[in-house]
Amino acid sequence: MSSIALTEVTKIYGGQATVDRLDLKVREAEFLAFLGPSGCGKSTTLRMIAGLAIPDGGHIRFGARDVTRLPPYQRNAGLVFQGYALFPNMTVAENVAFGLKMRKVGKPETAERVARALDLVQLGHLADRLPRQLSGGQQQRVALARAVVYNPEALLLDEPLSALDAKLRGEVRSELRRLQRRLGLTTVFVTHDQDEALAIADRIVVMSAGRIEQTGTPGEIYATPANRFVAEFLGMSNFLPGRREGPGRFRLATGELLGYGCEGARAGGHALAIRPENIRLLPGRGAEADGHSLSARIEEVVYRGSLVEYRLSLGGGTLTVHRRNADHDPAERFEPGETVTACWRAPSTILI
Amino acid sequence: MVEPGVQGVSDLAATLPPGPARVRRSVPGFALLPVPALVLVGIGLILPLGLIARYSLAEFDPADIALQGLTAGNYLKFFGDPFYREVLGRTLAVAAGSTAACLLLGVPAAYAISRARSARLRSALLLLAIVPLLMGNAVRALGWMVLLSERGIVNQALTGLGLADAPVRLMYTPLAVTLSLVAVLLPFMVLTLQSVFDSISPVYEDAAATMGAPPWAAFRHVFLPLAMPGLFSGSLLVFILGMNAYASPVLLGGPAFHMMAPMVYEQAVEAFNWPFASALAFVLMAATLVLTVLSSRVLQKRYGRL
Repeated sequence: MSSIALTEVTKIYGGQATVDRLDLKVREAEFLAFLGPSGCGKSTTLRMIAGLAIPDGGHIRFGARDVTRLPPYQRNAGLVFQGYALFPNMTVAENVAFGLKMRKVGKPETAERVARALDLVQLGHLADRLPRQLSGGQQQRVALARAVVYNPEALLLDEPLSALDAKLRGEVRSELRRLQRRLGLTTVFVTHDQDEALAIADRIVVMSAGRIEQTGTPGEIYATPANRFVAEFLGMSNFLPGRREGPGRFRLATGELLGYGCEGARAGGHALAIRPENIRLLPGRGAEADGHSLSARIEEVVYRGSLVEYRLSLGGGTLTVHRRNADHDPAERFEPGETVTACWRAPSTILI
Repeated sequence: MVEPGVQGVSDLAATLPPGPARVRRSVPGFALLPVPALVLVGIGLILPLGLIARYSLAEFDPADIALQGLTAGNYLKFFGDPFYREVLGRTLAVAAGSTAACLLLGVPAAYAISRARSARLRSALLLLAIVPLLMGNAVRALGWMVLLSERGIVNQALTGLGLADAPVRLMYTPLAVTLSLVAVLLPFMVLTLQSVFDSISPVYEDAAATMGAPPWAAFRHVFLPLAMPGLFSGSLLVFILGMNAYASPVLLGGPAFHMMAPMVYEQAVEAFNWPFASALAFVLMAATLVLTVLSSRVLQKRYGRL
């Protein structure tokens, strides 16, 4: 295992920088997720780490080794492709043995290591099947076994769960995470699914248009997004437009003066962001509340199982509020048309 | 968000067999669609074939070409005479040699076309592969004659450069026949291979590379086995065309170089020996068929269903 360091890595396609001077360090045994919309450069970055694309500028290092110009077959990285790319003409065992065969590992040792890798993903009993005889989840696990069997310096995963159905995805995700911890693999995971990134990664790198928007633990990124892009891409946020009027003071476009908890690292200062679950609703106009409050009207109530989503209108804008749908106070249930007071505590708002 | 999903599905689809899940639409009269083609094949192929089969068992009377008698004599004559056996052997050798040469030249060419980075380069290469098909076999054979004859361009160059004292005999050699056949048949090989290579996703080669396979190893261990059905159908096509070659052996092989197809013509049209010509035609067909079936059996054992 080794760390992976990217310095000023750039890739240009058709005159445009798909990846633009990217600086990043993946620590040893860390699980790092690249998160971003399609076309943000996350897959290209992964392909450059694997050696399937050569950067137009910058350097990539595995530990102390500069691999920038090395072809993929000399890098010793394991890559799990989006569609798995299992060789359809080879059995499960032959697929897993491929990397060892290329490394000229002897027959008895190969057999033993293949068996161990398959046991690791609980597929020992399917060694002689062909990929097309397996379910999607099983294929995914073969792809994983195939990528880790030769002890790669880095495990690279390109949207490995996207072809699975939602229920299976959660299971495979936990299994993947357990395996990664157990083997201590330095792992880079590419996804456009924020839930996946939040659930699995030690750190998340949010990308857009070839650049890093923010790097941090899932908690950091969710609680204190650096800018509006991150706040919008990860989870839901309400944005209250206005302008900053000195430290800790924000004047809404509608005139009210509000406080806020912190400033995003790359804030523009033109809006306050607040998560829907951080807003409480009280019946009636101008209800007494600690922190800030605004009067609003319930426009729509959407039942979403574990939570109820309220859409409110206030002074020209809208506000989305999530309330837990546990056996909470019936006084907190509201109907469309009701006037309510939306309130929150200043520390849960961020200047964006 | 849509793009990677679609990509994923198509990659996945590449690993799935074309199962029986495919739904066939039932259109009224659907069953009638192949009828015109069947009629044409029935009248144009099966019927004459039956006639030839009968003729091959007939007795030959130079004075009367009407169908008469029932004998295995034509076949006995063919297999009893070393001359005819040699003709069959030569035909097989030329066809097999041409097929091998086409494979050797066609695989790299088709691979280059299929994996070309730019679409423009790809179309240009594809067009180049098709250009030879715009000329007939006879015209092309004539061109080879101009090149290879005693005072042809090749010999002039050889003597001019002092590489040979006297003109080298190139015309009327098996080499000349094979060369011209390869030139005729290569486009068929390249086009067949290229369409199969296109259907093999480059992601398999990428996967092999990340697992430590240098390009040659990835090609040999991953690409080639996947391309085997294409190699087989290309070879089959070229082999059958080679077995039945006419213009090249006649024009470039000369009067002493005998292959099966020209001999059928000679017997039927020049000697008026329809029974023996029919027997020759059947031997040619049978040899091709037997080899085809045998080779597909062997390959199936090795590489699974083709």
